[in-house]
Amino acid sequence: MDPLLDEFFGHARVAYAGTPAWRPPTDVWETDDVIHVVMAISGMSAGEIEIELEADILVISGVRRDLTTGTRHYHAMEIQVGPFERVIRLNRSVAAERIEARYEAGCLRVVLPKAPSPPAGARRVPVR
Amino acid sequence: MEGSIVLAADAAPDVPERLPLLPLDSLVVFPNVVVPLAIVTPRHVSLIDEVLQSNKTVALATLEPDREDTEDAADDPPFYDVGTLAQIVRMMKLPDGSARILVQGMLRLRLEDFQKRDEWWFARTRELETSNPEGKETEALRRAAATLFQQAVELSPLLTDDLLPVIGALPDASKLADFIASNAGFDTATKQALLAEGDVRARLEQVAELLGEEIEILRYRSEIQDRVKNRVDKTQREFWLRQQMQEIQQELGEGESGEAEQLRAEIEAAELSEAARSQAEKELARLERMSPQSAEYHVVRTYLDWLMDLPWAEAAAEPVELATARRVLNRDHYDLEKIKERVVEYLAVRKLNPRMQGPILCFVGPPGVGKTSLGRSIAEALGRKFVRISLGGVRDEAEIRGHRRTYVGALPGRIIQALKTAGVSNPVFMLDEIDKVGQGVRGDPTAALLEVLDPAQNDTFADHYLEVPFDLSKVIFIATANSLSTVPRPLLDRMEVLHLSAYTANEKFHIARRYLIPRQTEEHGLQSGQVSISAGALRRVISEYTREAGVRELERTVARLMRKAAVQLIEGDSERVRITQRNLERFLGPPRFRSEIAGRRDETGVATGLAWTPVGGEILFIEAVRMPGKGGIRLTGQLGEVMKESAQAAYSFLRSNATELEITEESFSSSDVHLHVPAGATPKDGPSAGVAMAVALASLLSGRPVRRDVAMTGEITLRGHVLPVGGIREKVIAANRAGIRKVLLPEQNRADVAEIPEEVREALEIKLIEHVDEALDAALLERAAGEAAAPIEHREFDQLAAAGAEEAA
Repeated sequence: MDPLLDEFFGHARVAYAGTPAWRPPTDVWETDDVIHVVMAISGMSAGEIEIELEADILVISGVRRDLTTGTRHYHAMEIQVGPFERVIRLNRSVAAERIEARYEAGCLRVVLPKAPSPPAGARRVPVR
Repeated sequence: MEGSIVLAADAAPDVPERLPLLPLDSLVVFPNVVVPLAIVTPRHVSLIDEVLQSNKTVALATLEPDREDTEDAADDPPFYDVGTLAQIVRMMKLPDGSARILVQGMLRLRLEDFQKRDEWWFARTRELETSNPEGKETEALRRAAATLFQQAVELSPLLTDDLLPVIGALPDASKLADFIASNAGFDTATKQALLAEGDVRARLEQVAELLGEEIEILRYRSEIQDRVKNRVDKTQREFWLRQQMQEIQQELGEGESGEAEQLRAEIEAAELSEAARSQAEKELARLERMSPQSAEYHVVRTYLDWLMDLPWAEAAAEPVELATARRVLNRDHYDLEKIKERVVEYLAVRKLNPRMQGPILCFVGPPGVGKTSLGRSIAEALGRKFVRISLGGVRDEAEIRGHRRTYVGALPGRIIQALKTAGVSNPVFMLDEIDKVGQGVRGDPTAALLEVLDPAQNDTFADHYLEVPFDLSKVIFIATANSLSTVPRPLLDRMEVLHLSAYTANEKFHIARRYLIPRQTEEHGLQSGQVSISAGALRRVISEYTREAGVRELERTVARLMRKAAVQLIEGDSERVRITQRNLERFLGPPRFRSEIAGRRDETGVATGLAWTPVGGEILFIEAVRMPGKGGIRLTGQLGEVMKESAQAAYSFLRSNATELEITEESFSSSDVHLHVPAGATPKDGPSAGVAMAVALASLLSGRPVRRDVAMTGEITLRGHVLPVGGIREKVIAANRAGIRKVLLPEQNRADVAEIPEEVREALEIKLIEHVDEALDAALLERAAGEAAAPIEHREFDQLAAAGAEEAA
């Protein structure tokens, strides 16, 4: 098989999406007192991204519109559009009221300070 | 928003009313499934181009079997009427103008009102109504399907384990059903049916059922595979182990790794019976697993050697002509016409019917008459090999039939051993001395012989050692016996008995002339003509130096003459030695035997009887004396019951007929009678001396002497009638040899008279009698003048003692 195709399709051995929503690439890492979540989701504006925390589950979702318009002739099309969603289990208690989310240069950055006990109830996080 | 569809994260996407169709050949895409597709046809590539400019969704429609999307049939579109709404997730053009796309199924579509426009198919679409009720039943079905799918994945080599974690992550019944439907390897029509099923429960049920079938098939397949694999593994393992064993054996220096192979080749080459071959192969397989050091190895090895050495098939050729056979028989044996004729008859029948079974003959006769050597010449006359086993003293059944292999040092029986020696399956087989088979504690050998000698059974003779049947039916069995009295009836019944009787003096003369003298001449290294024996000398040798039924002693005596002659020749007095009647005594000393009646007088109280023994006929003297007493009778001489009773009968007959016989009553009442039959050390029995005893007693009591040249045989009744007896020929020949002139035989033995050799019949007077009176008339002389019937003189005792001494000499 063509190595290009391999890269293109190769990862999808069990080709099942589970939901119609797509999954933008995301990094999750932590320091001594903070958990970082970074999502590469270009072509959005801050208000279009929804972040919700319930217990230790962080859900980031939204809909990416088509980045191109007008009459066009694709040679390659890899940028996924439409509804996306990531569900991230943190396995940590975080201070819900101190979560900060910022959308900048096509990246969503969420900073979650660790806390001794999990917050009660669901909480929406505004993106700045 | 223009040209795109807005989809809420968990909401179903809106469905445009009319959508272009992307035809799929043998492929069904389910909702939520991501599938890569290769788009090769230019019009489909341009369709993809078109779709990507708008909302990037397309309806996937599967073609019905054997249909093409190029068909222009609006009233009968080539598609199934349920398809899938799909989002094109990625696309890439390849240099050859084709495209690869990655599509993700979104939801089920009902396709209606198909139309073809600008080479593309369009259909009016709406979402297929589905029902996905929550509830215990749905959950039960979901779990059942999940479990079944897990089993299928475990069994199937095509379904990878990667699928299993996905199953765990799918709590939704509809999604699970679709996932399984997409991945379980169902065929296109089945998949399409599952796609068209809107009811989740019904879909799950179908999936579960299909999985069940699939599992059955997979189980069956894996069973078959296991079996095949096992077989292959076993063969390989065996090969490998054998290889190892050879290596080990070579390493140990046992070096006999080739032995099994060699044996195998030998077994292949040997002409074994079918049973023997399978047995040999079985044993060889055992042998191969054994260490050559083990004791069992040699047992098996020896056994295999036996199997292969036996003549299962080989038969000696039989090109013999009747004339040749006759010549051979005549060359080796004098006279014996009846037996020679029997052999020629067999040969003749055999020529007409080659499958005829060998006869089982039994030669009965005294020692030295040529029974064994006759067997040898019969074999030669028939062009067959000759083997001989002696059964004398065999007391154990195992000697005939072999020991079972479980015994240490077990061997086949003598029958099989002899056949191995013969190397052919149709020899002339002599069972010598069959009358001397003993009976021991370990079974009866004659019983085993029954099987050997029964033509109906002996084609499957079972030797204990061999374990496989051997065919004896082509063997010609010849048994020999001196007497039939000790041969069990059932055994005798299986044989054709041929009697060889004692030779007469004349026959002996011819046998000596023709066979014995030439043979001994040669054996002593003499040239014919160097030693000559005159006819007169030979007759003297026969009558005065030998006394036997056969010719063994005669041959030894001839050998003695040859030795003496050889000494004379070597000492060099003369070139030739002549042995004549006159110089015979110089070679052999004084005569050893005299005519038993020569020098006897006609006496009272002594009668000459005739006896039959296994070694030929004999004459015997029956002596009676009388002493003062009260009419009693004593019988001595190792007489058996029958003979004693016979004597009593004779005495009673005489006493009851005393008047006619001119015997006074006082002779009985005032004296005791003693009857004795020498030699006293030899047991005697049988009724045939009845006549002789009556004559001896009559002579004693009446005082009339008995003629010394008359001998007699016959049983008597109490009334004096004479009954027939056996062994007439032997008895008469013995009488002739002893110098008797007249023989009294029972009238009822008339038929046996013909058996008596002519020369004997001519030399003797034979009188057939029916009653004792006739015997008395023929045997008793008139009372000597002046001699009273009564007192017993000492002189007579002296006379008897002298006669006994002569016989012992």
